[in-house]
Amino acid sequence: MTDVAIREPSSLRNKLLSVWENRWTTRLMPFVILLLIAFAFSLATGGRFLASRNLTIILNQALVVATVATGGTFIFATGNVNLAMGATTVLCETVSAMAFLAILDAGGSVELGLVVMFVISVILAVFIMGFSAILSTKLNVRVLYVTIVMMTLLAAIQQALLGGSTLTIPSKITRMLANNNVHYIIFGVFFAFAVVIFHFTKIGRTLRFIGTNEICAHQTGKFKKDYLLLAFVIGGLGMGLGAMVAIIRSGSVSITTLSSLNMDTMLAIVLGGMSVFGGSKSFVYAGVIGAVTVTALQNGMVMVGVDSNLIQGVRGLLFLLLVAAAQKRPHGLPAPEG
Amino acid sequence: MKKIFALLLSMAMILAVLPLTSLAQEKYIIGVAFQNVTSDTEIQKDYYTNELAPALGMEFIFSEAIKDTETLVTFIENCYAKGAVGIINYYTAGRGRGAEAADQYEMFFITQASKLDDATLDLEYNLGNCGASVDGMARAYTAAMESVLADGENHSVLMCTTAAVGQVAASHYYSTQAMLETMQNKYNLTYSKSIDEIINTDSPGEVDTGNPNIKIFLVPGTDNDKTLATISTPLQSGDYDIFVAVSGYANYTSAIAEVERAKNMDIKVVATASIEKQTLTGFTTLDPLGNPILNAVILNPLNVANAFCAAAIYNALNGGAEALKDADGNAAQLFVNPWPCPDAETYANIAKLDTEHDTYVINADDLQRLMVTSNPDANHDSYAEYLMELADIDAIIARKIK
Repeated sequence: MTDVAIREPSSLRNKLLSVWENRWTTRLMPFVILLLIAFAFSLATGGRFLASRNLTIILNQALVVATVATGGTFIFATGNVNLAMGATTVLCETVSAMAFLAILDAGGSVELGLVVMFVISVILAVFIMGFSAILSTKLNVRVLYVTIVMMTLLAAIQQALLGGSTLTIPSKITRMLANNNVHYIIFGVFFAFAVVIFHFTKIGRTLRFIGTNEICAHQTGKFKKDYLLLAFVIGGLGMGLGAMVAIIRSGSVSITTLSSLNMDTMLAIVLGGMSVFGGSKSFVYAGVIGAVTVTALQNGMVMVGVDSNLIQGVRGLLFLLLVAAAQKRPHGLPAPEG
Repeated sequence: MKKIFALLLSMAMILAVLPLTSLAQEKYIIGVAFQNVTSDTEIQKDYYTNELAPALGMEFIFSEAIKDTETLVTFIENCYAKGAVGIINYYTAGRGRGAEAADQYEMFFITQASKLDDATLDLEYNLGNCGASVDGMARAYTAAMESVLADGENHSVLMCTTAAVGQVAASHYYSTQAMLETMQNKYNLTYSKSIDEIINTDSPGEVDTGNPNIKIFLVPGTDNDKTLATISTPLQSGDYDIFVAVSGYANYTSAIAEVERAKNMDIKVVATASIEKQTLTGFTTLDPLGNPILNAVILNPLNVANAFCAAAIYNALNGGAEALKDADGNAAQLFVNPWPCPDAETYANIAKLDTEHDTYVINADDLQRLMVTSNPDANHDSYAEYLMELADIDAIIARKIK
């Protein structure tokens, strides 16, 4: 079959493609999938899946990935894949927890420790991501390769810092933060900030433009290096805040902490309806919808009694299918979206 | 578009219909949070499902490998959502936060660990620990080390100390301590730091022994892949002729065999193992120099701890929670004694255990002694007494193997 035949308006494949690439399909499909999952699991569990306590559980479980993924959408929107999101988040968690414990050990107050922990986490994440963006643009190395190197480097630093030990934040402190909804506030404020920047400012439009067609963007004066740095800085902000949400939730850091975070975040972004090529079909809520969907899927599978060996497989298969679907590019165009 | 929706709806209906049959059954649902998923996990799952579940009226939900506290908390929450009333936890590093999460959802919680988390002792739903006896492990590792050092030659040792740092797994800490003391006594070593400081060093490295002919290299960490990468350099130096792991050894056999072949040397292996095919293979398979791959093991009676944990939760659900706690009403520590196994002949007898109903060390009939519904006197002290009886492997073999 030739390209001409594929483009024939009457062909079934072309019809399906036009439905799939319709902007409303792209926007609504993640919500439809989430609703279907909720509907199916609700039926299967006699309504327990939709009980308010279970929905709170799902929300809490999704919060770390949702926070990191919200920042990650800024990077994905430019058509770049960042493989160092998980390693950055975990390193920030490690360094900030060490700082907090050091302050407590030195007789400092909990309040001071919390402020320092928060500031260190955010600044370190922004610095790491900013540095990655600069490395990529200055050395003219693809973002993917830079982040692979950064992922390895950051994991090695964390290994050197932690070795075989586990850092534990006293549970009364994490409980106090959770009881005061600090994790929800962190996520809520960051999400609102991200929505405004991504959908209502020139920055968001330009990032999507770069993802749509980098060459056109460059020719109209939207220089990738500047905006890539911005995307990474905002992404880093999400990772630093994600580290704080993770500390509030689990209160401990070891070398194995959040080892699947990067995969989970990418899965969430893609499942949330974003193309792996970014561009005009990027939405900042993709990470949140995706994170909730993945979490709901996992929660539901446990509730209906799916074997634990299969759960990881189902997630992997889902990711593969979605990436395969999102990989589809229009034929013969010079850039991701022409 | 209609076809896509039709497909999605049909998937939803299949998901909805499949599990309806199981909803009608009323059983205690118990979550089992495994730290690793290996071949011995499958053996344990069989024991839970085929022996403990029918005897205790329980249904077990098994986790994926729990690698961090976040995953443990998520598993506990998902079990709660399914209606679980208890958690048996193997992830020792997360036992404190796990106990809190379970308490929050009013689920009984017990961990397979050797050291209690002090911060959670008074939680109402925290039943405590049932884990390897630290004294028993120390004695077993001392005996195993003495047997491999008995030839009077100088030996250097590579030790994987897994979760010994900070006593995340207390049995790992005391096993390592016992081995360092054995080496010290055998060769009159003068460590430049205290043994506690040596064990609690986060990063891998050589111990200053004060004797250039005796080397000791410690590798802490629970990530098997990272440990494997770390041991490569010291192993390939050819300086170490004894490899000891305070946990399983299977991940390292290829790396060890490679060095044995390349350096034409015998590396003796001492490790913790369980009753499974792999252990027999280790004893009976020869390395490139014609020696057994495995030289001595400390057998961890996994299903004994599993039975006690499940029975403890059963009792708690049947009004016996307080009887399992200590005199102050706090979560209690129960110790399971390991079975030292110095050679293949000894293992051949032990391997006949834990394969089916009749040979399970604790089968459904034995379980009656642990359940308050059939033995109202079952409490913390009677549990401890029973565990002491189970330290005698010869008596168990005589009773179970006809």
